[in-house]
Amino acid sequence: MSESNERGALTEAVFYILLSLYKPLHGYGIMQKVKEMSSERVDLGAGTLYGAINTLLQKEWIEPHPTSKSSRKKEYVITGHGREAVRTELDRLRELLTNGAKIAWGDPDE
Amino acid sequence: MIRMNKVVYRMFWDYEREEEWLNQMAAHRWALTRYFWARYEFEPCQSGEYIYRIELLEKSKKDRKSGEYLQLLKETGIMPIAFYMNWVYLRKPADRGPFQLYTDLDSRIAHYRRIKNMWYAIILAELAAAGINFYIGLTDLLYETRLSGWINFAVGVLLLIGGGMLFLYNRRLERKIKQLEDEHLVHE
Repeated sequence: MSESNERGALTEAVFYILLSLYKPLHGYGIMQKVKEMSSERVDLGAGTLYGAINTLLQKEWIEPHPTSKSSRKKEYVITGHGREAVRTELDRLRELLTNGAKIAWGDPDE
Repeated sequence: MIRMNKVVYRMFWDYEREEEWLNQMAAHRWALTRYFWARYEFEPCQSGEYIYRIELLEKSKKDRKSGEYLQLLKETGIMPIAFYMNWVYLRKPADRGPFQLYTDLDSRIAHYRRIKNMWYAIILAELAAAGINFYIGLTDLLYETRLSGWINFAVGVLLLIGGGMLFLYNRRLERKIKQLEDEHLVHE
């Protein structure tokens, strides 16, 4: 993947999946967590989630979390790179919010 | 009255129409339980008890990746009902909430592309088979073994028609992909 793509916005699905993995979770747990965080607004489809998990594993933004052998469910957890990506995205979102609020909500001081 | 299972033979090019039909059947209290080669077997169910979806897997169902994915589906209450090539027929009890496999534009586009590429591979195979049949038919007719020659021609024509219909369907898929990509320029 090229440098310019690395700096692009994260998709909503990716952003929420990363947030949900600050504590290890398995696939279904991610879906539930994301739904909860977004007050039911973001209801990830299984196909979308599975595709995103694979991409994030490839980019090493998340990694498999070792679980007890009795559990068949695979758990994942965010990596240092993943946290970095979230922080970069937060900076970008803050910039959007500041500019958006100034213009669309109208700041009388401007 | 006890309702027996019901068998219907039908063929679809368009998996989304097929999906719609299966959901209509479920609304009419018939739940798909088996599928193989245009043969659909239904068992009685409550009206709208299940929601059906059809998906083209990236790999065959025996692949480890597909196994992982199917495991995730099962955890969310989605059960595979039938497999056919890399297609999988899935259902979820309607009382477990809405059932969409792909919830953003990226993943919907990727799924359509996968289907489009699979059909193009089949169209190519059909064209090649049609060509072989025309060639055999032609050489047969030159040596005057008439009937088999005409049969080869007929098979060739059928293959061409099949390939042509698939091609038209694929053009429709391409338009859908284009629409989603345009949409993607504005939001995800």
